Amino acid sequence: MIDQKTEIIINKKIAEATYLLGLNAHKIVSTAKPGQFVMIRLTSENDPFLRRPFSISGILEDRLFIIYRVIGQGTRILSSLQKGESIQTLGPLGKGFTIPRPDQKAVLVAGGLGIAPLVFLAQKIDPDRLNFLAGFRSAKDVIDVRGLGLKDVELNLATDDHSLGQGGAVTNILEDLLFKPGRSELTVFSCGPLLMLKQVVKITKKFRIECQVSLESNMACGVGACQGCAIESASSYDTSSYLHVCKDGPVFKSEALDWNKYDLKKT
Amino acid sequence: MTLKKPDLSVALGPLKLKNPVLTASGTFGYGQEFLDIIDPNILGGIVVKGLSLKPRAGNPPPRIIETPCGMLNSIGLANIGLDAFLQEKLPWLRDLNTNVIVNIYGHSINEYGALASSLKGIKEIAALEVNISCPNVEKGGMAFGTDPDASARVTEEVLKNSDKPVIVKLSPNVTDIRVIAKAVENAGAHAISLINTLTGMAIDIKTRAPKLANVSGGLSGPAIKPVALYLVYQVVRAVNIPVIGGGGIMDYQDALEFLLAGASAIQVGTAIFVNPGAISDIIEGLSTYCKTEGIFEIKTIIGDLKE
Repeated sequence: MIDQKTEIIINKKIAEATYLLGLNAHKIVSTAKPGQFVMIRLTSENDPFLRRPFSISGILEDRLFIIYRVIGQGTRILSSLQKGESIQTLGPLGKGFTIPRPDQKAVLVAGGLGIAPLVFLAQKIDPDRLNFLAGFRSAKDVIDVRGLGLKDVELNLATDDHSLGQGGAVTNILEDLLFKPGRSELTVFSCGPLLMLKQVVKITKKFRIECQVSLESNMACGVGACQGCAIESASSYDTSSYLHVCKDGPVFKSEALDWNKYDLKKT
Repeated sequence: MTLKKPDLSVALGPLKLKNPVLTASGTFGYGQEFLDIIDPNILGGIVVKGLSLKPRAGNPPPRIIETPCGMLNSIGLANIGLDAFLQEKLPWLRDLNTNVIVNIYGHSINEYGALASSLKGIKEIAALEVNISCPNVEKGGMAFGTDPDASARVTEEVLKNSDKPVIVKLSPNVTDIRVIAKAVENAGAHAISLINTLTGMAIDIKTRAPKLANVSGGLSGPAIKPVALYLVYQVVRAVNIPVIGGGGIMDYQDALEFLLAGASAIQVGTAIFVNPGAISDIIEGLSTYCKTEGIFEIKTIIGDLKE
């Protein structure tokens, strides 16, 4: 974990309200793994106050990339920053994905911006053993990953409004896929809105397939000190009843968590 | 010949600190969490996460909400409990070359006493900080700290069961903090620290629900600094024991304001979340300030407020 000044090398719009940010983060990149995240300080002033957590979407030599969506004051400030400006970045943080063995096949299921950590994971998997499913609200929201080190990867797309790819939920594609033979060698990796994650967990549980999910949470420190990012753990898994997204995650095996306790209004 | 540096050492009654900078309980874990970035040994002292007799899971999420220039938290004193602390954390803390101060919290007066008693004889624990001011727990905590008699009784019970300097941490959520400060001074406290967080809330106008699952939480960060500073100013003038000041300290200038108001040492808390390097920046900043201003010993500016 390193807290370093990182120079912005690129900050460009790649889809509706969605940006690709590239940072010169020569110290952080050396140990960063797929599924890990960074905490970015948006301003040296006190407002907005807290750093923002962002999944790492890829590394190219000393450059670290993140994909973010402008949703509030913090990300609006981030989108206004220009190439050459510097921001303070802490990372790499958290536990990442357990990368599948070379003989395993991986199914990646992304919902919207949930694609961010999965892009980095996909870069580490042989394209022949990878099935990358991605759902978006509409065609204008679709993030093209081919320019992000995944030129040979074809996204299996779904859009809620039927404007591109298969119409409806991305989890329908997952379910169809799992009905086909050979599913026992699969591992599912997923990140996206809570409703989608719950569906992914339900489906993988039904088919008894291992599933790793990446979660998001409000957090203050990102390193396990503040204990602000607590989530309910499955009682069979951990008796302490709470896990912390920043340190125990952000990637969890789906069975580690108590999915019934999650409340939609909180997200 | 080594060049003479400004002397940053201060005293909190019997407790000697190499510099006035402490970490606030609950913001620096057990000193291990930020180890890649901050060496705890540079500190005047580390106040570890609030400790209870039994482990506490803490409050349901969401526990943290950002507010203008600050944050609300309702962690609920989640901690590993006394046994795990002694087994898992103490061996590491023993080896530190700084003052380890253990913040203790109980549901009842007896529990405070039992905790103090369990930590007796552990010479690497430099002092106890008694938390009678947490706003995020149902029993104990602030329920004691808003009542002068209960504050005094908790203080007496800890002193009776302890062989260490006892610091009592006060809540700002009271009508007149000086009454509580005097009560714990009269009960025998060696020092007072303040402030704990200010109680507050935030509402999501879309869902019309409180943003924190616990409804209310404790406000911290630079938003509370002026409040904290004035409370420190008042308490310093009300008691004759050393005062540790804190609340929204982000940089060395903030730290200096508290020292000038009369605090003998300061606590850095929420700033660590945003900028872990703030701890070393503040210590270096104080040293540079002393050098620039021709101050040989920082203790000479404590309470040196021109009124």
